Amino acid sequence: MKCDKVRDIIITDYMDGRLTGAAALNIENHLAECRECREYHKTMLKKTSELFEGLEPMDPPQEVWEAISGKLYKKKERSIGIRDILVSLIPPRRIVLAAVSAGLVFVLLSGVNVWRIYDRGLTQKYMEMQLNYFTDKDTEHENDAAFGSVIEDIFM
Amino acid sequence: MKNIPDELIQRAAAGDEAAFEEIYRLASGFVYAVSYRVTGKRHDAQEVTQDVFLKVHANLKKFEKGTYFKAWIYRITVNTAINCYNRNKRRWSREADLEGMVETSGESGDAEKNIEKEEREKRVEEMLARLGPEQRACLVLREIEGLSYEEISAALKVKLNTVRTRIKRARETILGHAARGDKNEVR
Repeated sequence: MKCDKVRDIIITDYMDGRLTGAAALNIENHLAECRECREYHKTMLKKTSELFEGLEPMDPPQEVWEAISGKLYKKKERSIGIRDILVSLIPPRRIVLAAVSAGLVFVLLSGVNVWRIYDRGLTQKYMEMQLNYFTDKDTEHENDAAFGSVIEDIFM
Repeated sequence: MKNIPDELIQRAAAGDEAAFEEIYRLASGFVYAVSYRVTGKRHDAQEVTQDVFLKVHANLKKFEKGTYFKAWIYRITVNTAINCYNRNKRRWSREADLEGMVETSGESGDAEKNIEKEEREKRVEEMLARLGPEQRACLVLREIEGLSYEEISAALKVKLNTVRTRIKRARETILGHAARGDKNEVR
């Protein structure tokens, strides 16, 4: 196997533990025989992978979370505000029921009163008609006196 | 990144803020570390972390099963970090931004350890600064976060060979830079 091909594999799959079986064996056999590739492998490990060993884990400062939750919370507050307004326009169930009941009673009572007024009006009108009929000296009504007079004429 | 239970994702998707905060606690270390390694700036890393979690929160309902949740977080983290880097690279000078990254306990016994930590961080920072953002992202996911080539490929939605090529070129660049550094030291 040529050294440049071996080094390509060393710098990637071999270093990252991806080779198994025959492929790994081939590389190891080559490294056992080739001093330059062996040095290359050793240098690569020292200057790259070992460089990253033992790095401390990093955590973001608390202000990052505060900024995130501040933005999320403001969004939630805004949506709660709109919801609150909508809820406040729609009163609770009991109040709605009470209002509907009161409304029905009002309508019922109003209806009765309206009927009374209407009925009184009709009665009054009838009485006025009768009064006019009896008191009116209009000759038109004299003919009414004849109403029944045919019968009188016939029988009397 | 630690495993995020499906049940937690479902609760967060249903609006449970405590569940979302728990997801943040489990994933923020990864997101912040990758963001910092890709952008090279603490301020940018904080901005990227915020953006990532706001996107996660806005899209939680799509991932109730949690199967691809981690891969999705990897992807938006890397993409958001690379976009941030590209947007800001002309504005920021490529200086190491290590002040305060390594916390000191103030005790004399820890001073040496802290110096070592700072040195290591500085070397990593210098090496990563030689790479383009895509190579940097692949190398960070592989070397620091321990993702396999397949996971990186799925996370970044690139072919496996693309991952392999980026890692190869990143390592060759680092090795070349390191070799030049060694020659300078010898002189």
